[in-house]
Amino acid sequence: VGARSTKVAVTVTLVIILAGFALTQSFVQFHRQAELSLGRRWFDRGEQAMQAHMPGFAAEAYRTALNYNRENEFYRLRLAQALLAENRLPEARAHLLSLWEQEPADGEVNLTLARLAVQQKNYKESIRYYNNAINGVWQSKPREQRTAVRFELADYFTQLHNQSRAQAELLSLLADAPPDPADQLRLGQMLLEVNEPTHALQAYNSLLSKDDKDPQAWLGASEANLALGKYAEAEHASEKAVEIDPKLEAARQQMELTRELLRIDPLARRLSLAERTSRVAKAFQLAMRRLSACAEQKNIPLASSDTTAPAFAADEAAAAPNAVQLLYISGLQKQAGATEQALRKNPDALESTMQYVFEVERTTAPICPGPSVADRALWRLAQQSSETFR
Amino acid sequence: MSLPDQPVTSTKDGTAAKPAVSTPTRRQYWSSLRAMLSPERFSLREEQFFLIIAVLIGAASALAVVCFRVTIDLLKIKLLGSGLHPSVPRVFLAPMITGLVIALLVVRLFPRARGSGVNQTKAALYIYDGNIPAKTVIGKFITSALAIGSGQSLGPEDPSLQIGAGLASALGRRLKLSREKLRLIAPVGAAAGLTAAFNSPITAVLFVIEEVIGRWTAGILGAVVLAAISSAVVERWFLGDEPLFRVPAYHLEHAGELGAYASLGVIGGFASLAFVKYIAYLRPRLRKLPPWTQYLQPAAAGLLIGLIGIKFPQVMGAGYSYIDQAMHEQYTWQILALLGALKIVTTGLSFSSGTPGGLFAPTLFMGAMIGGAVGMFERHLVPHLAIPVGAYALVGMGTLFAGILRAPMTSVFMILEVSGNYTIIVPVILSNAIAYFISRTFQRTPIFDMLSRQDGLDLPSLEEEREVPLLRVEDAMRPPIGQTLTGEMPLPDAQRRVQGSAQDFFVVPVGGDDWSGVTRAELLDLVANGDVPLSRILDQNIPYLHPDHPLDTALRLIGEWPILPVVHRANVQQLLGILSVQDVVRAYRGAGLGESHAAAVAVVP
Repeated sequence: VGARSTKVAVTVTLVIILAGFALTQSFVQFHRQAELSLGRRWFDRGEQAMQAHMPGFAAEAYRTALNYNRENEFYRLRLAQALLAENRLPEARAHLLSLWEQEPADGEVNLTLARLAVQQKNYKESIRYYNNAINGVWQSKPREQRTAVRFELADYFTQLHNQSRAQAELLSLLADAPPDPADQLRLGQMLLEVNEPTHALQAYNSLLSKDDKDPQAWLGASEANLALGKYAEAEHASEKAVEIDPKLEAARQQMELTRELLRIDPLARRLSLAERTSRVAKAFQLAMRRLSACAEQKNIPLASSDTTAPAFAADEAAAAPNAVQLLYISGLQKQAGATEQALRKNPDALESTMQYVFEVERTTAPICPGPSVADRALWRLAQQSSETFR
Repeated sequence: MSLPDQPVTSTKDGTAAKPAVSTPTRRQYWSSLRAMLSPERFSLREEQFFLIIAVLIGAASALAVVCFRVTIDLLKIKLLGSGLHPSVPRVFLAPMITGLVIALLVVRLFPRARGSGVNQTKAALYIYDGNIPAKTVIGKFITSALAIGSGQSLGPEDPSLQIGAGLASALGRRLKLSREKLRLIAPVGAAAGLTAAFNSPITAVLFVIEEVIGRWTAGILGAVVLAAISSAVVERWFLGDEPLFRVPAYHLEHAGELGAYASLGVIGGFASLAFVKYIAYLRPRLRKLPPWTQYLQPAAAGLLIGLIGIKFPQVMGAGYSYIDQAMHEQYTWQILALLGALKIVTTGLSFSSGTPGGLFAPTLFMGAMIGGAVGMFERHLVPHLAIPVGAYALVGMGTLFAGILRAPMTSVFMILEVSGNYTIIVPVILSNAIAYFISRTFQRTPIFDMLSRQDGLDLPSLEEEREVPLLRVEDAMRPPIGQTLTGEMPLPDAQRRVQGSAQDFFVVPVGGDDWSGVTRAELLDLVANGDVPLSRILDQNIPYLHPDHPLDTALRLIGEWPILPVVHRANVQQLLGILSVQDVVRAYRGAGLGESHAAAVAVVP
């Protein structure tokens, strides 16, 4: 192979290939632009459908967008999220696993997988993906995203009644001190929900140290103090909340409650015996009135003859009236010993009388809504007493 | 390519000294440059030149196939719209009207554009001395792009293979390659074209070797591999290196899962069989219709496909995006099974109507749907197991590929390559092997051979050739009775021994790894002093054979020698038998090879 014509042919071929390269480049470029444009158009349609809460349409649009831009991980992620919203879980999972294989540390992919696992009631997998998401890579605002995921995980644990793990997540958040006031408020609220008033107070105080004009923070601090049995501090915090935002109804109610608590609390320290017996007697009267009102509200006959030997009902709904009746009968029996004078003569009955009052409040609270402020105060005391006992 | 000669001086101790340095004049400079660029300096052996050409073919084929794929995509958007579910008028009209245009082009302008690109490349190799007309390539490009873009149930790989082969053929003719190289250049281009279509060089190389060339030789393999690599590089430059399918993670959790994959192999095998039988039935009947119907057949096929496409647009076109959806569990097992069955119907219609296009993509589509259906059904039966439907779809693709196209090795490597998932190899091998076995058992002739015979071409069937038993030396050799002497034997003893023998030629081990041979007349004519052993007298060595050598090797070695020794591989001095040309001929006659081959070729389903 050495003839000149061969060299010419090879040279011409090379030139043609180079020219073909340039032509193909422009052709492919044109096609790519067209595809990307179509992909974006379909993606936008998907976004609009998602905003209109039409995940089925959105999934179809995202799928088409993905068809024009196969390497776009974000399109695939949005498709998976739309499928998840449409409750097409296996399909969403397949797309998410594809994404996960590409980017196992991607925070959003792991979070979506975690949510999917929650829907599929796959406890182990959901925890694993939530933790992956917390420790994963986030493209924007990583700290905020991780905080949000940890909140979601804590929320999930709360729903699962796994209080200890919820507490652990929330305490991690507290240690991390999220900078967003809304997050701090939420953290305080959730800490209260998982029975961590001390740390909740810490969260609210941290927030107040930065901004003492936040009525919600004062309200939260009031609730935390209330849960800790610090009624005076709770009252002060609620007053501050009302002072800053007089229209904040929750703060006003909180203030009324704390004031009522301070007024009627028979267990407060440094009370004279007279004052204590007076408060216990009033609490007893309040409890009896609460029972009567509740029975009337629920049409439960309190004076019927068969209440002396109430039948035990099979279910809880049926059992409730009997409990009210029993408590009322018990109250009638205690009534004579629960007057101010009788209690003063027999201080040993103070505790049993208060236990009865608490029992009444605990029993009526779930079945008879709309208690008075005083009843709510007594109920809080009952709660407090249970916590202390525990 | 040799380096330019340099004036080198030698020192006294013989080492090379630096060339004498002098300031060249402008004339000297230009003359030396001309000398460097002179045609003689670029002289190459044809084998080396062929390899360079293979690289160029790879690049050129990839460019053409990239343009082909992009054209298909653009046509699809123009004809069927940009949505995954095209509107009813488009679905109904696009394949039908385009079918009329395609028929006109094929009948009037590009008659060789119809049919399988694989067979046309084989025809170029075995019949037309590597010649594929440029017109065929252009016709294939245009008509296939129109067909696939308008929704005919065909794929772009087969035409890509032929486009690559055609470009290679044109280049080979232009470069005036020898006849032998010209014949081989079409498969080289075919590998490049297929690589660019699939983004999978290993699959392309294996397919071309397995289905087009049929043999592994270093020369052709090197060219095919280089063309495939070059094509892959260029194709990835333009279209990226993403695998064709992205499959969710797969792990074989339990060996029991293999049972499910085996069942997929059985179902896939029978589905393959149904498709091939359907083509075998429909295609000859459509071809027998009056010639004027050829103008209408693609349109009629398009109309039927459009009608099906109104409800199931997934069966239109190559369907890769829907394969991806099946892998990501979009459909129920009933829908998947239905789509698999409908794809068999629509592909049979498109292909048998003479519409240009390939079978690869539809095969993969059918496989993905059937595999996905099996996976989904199993998940339905055993809901607590996390059955990976994507893995079943992937294995299904390989299964149908093995069952329909009957390229078992290619089918395995293709799945690994298009998915980039190597953990799936065991299920793929199992399922493919079962489907291949079923297909072979109930359909003796592979689809490409069947199509070529329907077209009146007697192309070699590579599968049948692989099945022809290879005769070996051990099948023909006979015991060395009376035809051996020992090297230590003194000449007079040897002469006495052969004097009364009826044999004319004797083999003699002469020590080491050598054997010699002597005729009776030569031996009797020898004169020597004393008792000189034969090994010191006989100085001409003869070749020897081993029992496992093919008889073809024996024929090449035997040359003019009346017989050759057949010796043990571990001990060359140990004689196992002897072989003559007559023995070889007798063995071939005994095997009846000629008859069986003729019978195999004559079979037309």
